[in-house]
Amino acid sequence: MKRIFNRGNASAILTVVVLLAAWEIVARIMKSVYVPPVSTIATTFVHEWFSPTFGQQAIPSLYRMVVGYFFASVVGITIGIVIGSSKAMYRLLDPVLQFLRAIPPTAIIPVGILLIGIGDQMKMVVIAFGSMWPILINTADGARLVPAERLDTARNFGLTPFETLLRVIVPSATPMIAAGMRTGLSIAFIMIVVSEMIGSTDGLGYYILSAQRTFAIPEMYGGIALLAILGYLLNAGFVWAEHRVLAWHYGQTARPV
Amino acid sequence: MSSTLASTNEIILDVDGLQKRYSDGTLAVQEITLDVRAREFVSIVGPSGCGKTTLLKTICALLAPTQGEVKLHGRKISEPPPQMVLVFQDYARSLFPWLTVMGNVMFPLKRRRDMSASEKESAAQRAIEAVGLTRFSKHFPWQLSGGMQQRVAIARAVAFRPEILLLDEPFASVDALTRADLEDLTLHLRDEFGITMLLVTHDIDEAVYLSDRVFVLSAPPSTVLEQIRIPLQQPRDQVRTRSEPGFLELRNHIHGLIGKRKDDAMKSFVLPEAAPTLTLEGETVP
Repeated sequence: MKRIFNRGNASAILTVVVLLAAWEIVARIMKSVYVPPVSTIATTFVHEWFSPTFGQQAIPSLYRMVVGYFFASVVGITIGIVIGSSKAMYRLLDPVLQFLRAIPPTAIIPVGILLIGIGDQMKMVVIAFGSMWPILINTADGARLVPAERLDTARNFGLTPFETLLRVIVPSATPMIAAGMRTGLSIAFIMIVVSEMIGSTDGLGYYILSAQRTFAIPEMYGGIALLAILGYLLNAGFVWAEHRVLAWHYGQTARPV
Repeated sequence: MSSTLASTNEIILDVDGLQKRYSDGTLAVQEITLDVRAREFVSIVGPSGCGKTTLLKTICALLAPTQGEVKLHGRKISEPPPQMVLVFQDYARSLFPWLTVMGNVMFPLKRRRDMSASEKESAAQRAIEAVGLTRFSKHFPWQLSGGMQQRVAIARAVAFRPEILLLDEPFASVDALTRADLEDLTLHLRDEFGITMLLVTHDIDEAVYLSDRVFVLSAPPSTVLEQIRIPLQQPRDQVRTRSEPGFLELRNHIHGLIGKRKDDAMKSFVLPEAAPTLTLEGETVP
């Protein structure tokens, strides 16, 4: 249906081409070891990532991220719904959560290493901790801001509190949950790189840092480029899925109500 | 259904000395006593902000009264009874945007154990048909106009087979033509499904046009100023009913009741000559 090369895409692609060309020219004039030309980076990129290195370095990162993010979503949505739909729980837990949330997630990496060691679990826990907050906070807001008429309608038709939760509160909160999950996804991506730079023997964070330390400069840039591409694809995939699941929400907000 | 017949029907809803004071101390409803007979169309009119929504929510037990009680078939209610369904003014907020028209109408039926799956399906279809939306049953509410969305909310209520429909200014946010259509729709539903209607509105003409009886409320904290029987010819007709001499008399009487109190309040800043010719809607009284 939609054409891939429409006017907007064409100008976006043009911008990218111009920037890459500018890099290529500047790098060739500078002749610095630290800033290799795009063509060199591209050759290294293809050589490195269309090889078993992808399985050795990228797959472990993605695996940790998926598991950590999954737990962040389950825990964040569950606690968010509980807090958002119960004023008592909100009053009880909100101050603690606001405090915990203020901790930069990278700061708990030392705690993770201390308690769990430097294995996969530590990274998953750190990723889960970091990406859970936006999911939790957004879910709680979504559950708390359900229009009173919807809740009254549920009560009027005799729904039990549990039925109301499943059939009214959770669906009402889904747009906010999705927004939180999207923010959580980018935080998960940051956390995976940082945790792999601090204590790891594989993964993209480890790969980039060890490339820099061994003066494999094109490899370092290639690793960063792969992260950018993976991040872009993950986000695009998320948006695609979100627009399918929440078609009703986007359909509704696209029109004046 | 004639009003004389309705007046001999049994009283099904009995509101006795109802008072609602909010937790912040505001007295929204001072003391309301009214009764509704089976298959009757009863309206409650009053100036805006007189606690009409609060009153309806208290009647169907979504809010607990601070004094007085509501009896349904002589039995005091404390939880929302399935025999009463409230239709909200704000249809956009009471409908579920993630469900289709059919999904919305089926929503309250799904959990009912006293109906089979096919009974639920046909009840929903019949209700959707009765409000004239059969062609749109697979649409989402937000794809429909305001008036059509309110029809969905009404269909959802009717499919649940309540005895009494409580209508909270259901036509306040639609245009005049749609409004007339919806008014006639409620009259039609009363006859087709035998549902008793209790409407709150600030529109005096609408109340007179639709009702067998009208309760006029005062400004808050509200009480019943007067109970008025509407002996207009049945069935009602938008053109004929509204031009009956009785119609004008009744509406002017109610305007007088509400307007007099408003005039009293306004005397301090309205010129003495201008005041008596003003009514609530700014029209000139003949």
